[in-house]
Amino acid sequence: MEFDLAYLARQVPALRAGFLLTIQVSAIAVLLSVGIGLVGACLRVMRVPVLAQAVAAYVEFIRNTPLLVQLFFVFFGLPALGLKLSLFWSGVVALTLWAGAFQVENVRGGLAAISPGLREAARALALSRGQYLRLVGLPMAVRTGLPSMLNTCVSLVKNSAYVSAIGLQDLAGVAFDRIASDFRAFEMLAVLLVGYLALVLSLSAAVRLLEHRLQTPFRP
Amino acid sequence: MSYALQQIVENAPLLLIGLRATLMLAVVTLAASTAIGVVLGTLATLRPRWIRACVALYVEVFRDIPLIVTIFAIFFGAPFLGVPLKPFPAVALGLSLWGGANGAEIVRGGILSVSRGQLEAATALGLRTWKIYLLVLWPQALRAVLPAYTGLLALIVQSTSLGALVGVTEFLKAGGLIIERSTVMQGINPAFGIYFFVLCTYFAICSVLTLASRRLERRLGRQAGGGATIRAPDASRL
Amino acid sequence: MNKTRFAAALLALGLAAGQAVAQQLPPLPQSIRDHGVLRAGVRCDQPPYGFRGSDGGFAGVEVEMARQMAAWAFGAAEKIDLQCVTADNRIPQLNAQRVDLLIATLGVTPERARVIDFSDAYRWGGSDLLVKKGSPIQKLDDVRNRTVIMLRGTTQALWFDANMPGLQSLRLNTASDALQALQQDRGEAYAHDAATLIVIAARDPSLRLVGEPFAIADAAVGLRKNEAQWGAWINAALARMKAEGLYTTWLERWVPAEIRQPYTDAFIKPRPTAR
Repeated sequence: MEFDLAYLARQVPALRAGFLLTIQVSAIAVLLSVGIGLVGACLRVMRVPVLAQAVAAYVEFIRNTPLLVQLFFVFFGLPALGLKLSLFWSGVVALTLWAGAFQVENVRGGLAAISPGLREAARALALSRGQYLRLVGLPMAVRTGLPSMLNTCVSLVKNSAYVSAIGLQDLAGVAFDRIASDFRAFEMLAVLLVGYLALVLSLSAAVRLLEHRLQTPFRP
Repeated sequence: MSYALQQIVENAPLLLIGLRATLMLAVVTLAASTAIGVVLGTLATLRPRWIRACVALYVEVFRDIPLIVTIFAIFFGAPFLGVPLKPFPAVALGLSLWGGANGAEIVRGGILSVSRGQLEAATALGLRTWKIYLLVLWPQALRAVLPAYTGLLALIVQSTSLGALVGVTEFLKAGGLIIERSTVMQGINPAFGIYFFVLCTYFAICSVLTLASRRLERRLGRQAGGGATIRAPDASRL
Repeated sequence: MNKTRFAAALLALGLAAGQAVAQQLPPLPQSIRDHGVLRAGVRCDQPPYGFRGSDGGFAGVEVEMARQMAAWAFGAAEKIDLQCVTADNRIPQLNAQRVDLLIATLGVTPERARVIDFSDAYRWGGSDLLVKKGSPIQKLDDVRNRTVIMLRGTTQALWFDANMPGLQSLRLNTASDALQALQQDRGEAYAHDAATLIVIAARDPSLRLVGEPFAIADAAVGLRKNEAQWGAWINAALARMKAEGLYTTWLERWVPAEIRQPYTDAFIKPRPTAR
């Protein structure tokens, strides 16, 4: 059960590449999922026929099925429909769809929390639904919903580790691959534990800092 | 699609074995998570700071490390520590440690949500601390905690799918085996149909639990006189 | 009366013969005997050594080896508990005591020797590349700038890490995933044990082997460390299989005649050298 530092040092380049891939996958998925959240919440709130129900069904489906199975479905199953995504994009798409469902709920929550006074004021000013959303609703919703939206983003970064299950060489993927070939489980697992803890803790701390700064000047 | 359906019907016994393993894993995990959660959640409401800090540390660690890493760490790491853990126990342990962390948060929130008046009255009546917990705090916390716990159970059921990655033949793995056999022996790949079926089965099971959780939240929230029930750990906080 | 005496004599003779046969192998360790069955890890995705037969059951030459060992250890080939293992979880399963031995296309490598013990080699095996018929890849070096599909934790993964470190590789978990990936053009070549690729290519006319063997290694039975008595028994069993010509019988059962020669060579002839 010796800890081989020299071995670990040799793996640093591969691990660094894996870490970068984790960041890449997470960053793209975060941006896309927030987009889905905003659009989806608007569709629900504006009660667009068919699309609003579709969004509701999508959210329910994602929340009640495992991320791992969703990932397998995207990578192994979609090619049957002619949708063959690369390893990287399968991971990004699966993570995006997963987080997007939660972002829809987060933005909806933010929209619902807007005080009725503001909504009435918008109606009094004869703003259309769309204008209300664009000028008042969404900015306020994001402000209120930011904590939960950012929490979902942090979860997304953490759960990006799942993509190692389809073979993507992110941080977890590289580590598991090394373990399978060299059996230095101790060293690799230590790197993973420290790496993900550090990543999630620093992101959470940044989120809390941001929330703190955004408390000023006022809350709706 | 109909080929996939045919494969599902032909391999129903294998799928049922997988489903049974999934449910067994979920039940074992729920039991262990509850035990860990109640103990730690209660400890987290005690006065001494160092106890609360320890529990907070445990909760933070197991909620921040990806669940897949926790399970692999136990599965690959245990033999190196001299403890041979077979796949099922390894996954159960990993899921329980994680479930316990989430459970601790729920229980802690539940106990803290019991109105202070209850605690003060019990203290005034001269009840010892452990009796206060047993007779006053836990029973009332149970009400607040039930909806969230049902939500956690839905998450646990979903998380059992990770067992497929370390060799537990649960439901996802059973589906994978069917696809594998068909691909290698017949050259036809039913991945789309099979994985869609697996998704729908999980959906069927978990949506029942999620709906129950929401129904409980509404009903118990009303009865408790509007006292807030604990929000279920969202899957996003997985 | 005569019939009973005759039957008794036959029985005595049979028992004596059984004893004689059993005496050819060293004693079975108590820990193994306690299980009552032979718990073996085998492959379920690698024809012709370990795969799923058309009836869904375990099939293949290595599965036969396991069954024979069960027969010699416990008296009947049915006294066996077969577990499907993959390249990346077979050794953890062994060390977790889920199985007591691995007959799972396990190549002898120094990394593995650190964590488990190997029996004497029972055959050797090389690696090869599977590509689509129209592929421009004609030799091993042609994959240098391309994506190669392989399985995690295999000798091929080790070989490419050591010999082509910058290679773009797709590491999957099972042979069927890898095959699918090749057919979906997620990679230009699939690297695995030649033994399995030969069978796959024979079955699928749209694929062909590159035909340049590399990473040739001995295959041996895997067992946990510090189980010398068990190792001795396994070695004796393997020697007996060779002496009784059982490998040839099994190869005849599982490998079609037209491609059988390389497999027979792997079991009988000594290991050649290659990259």
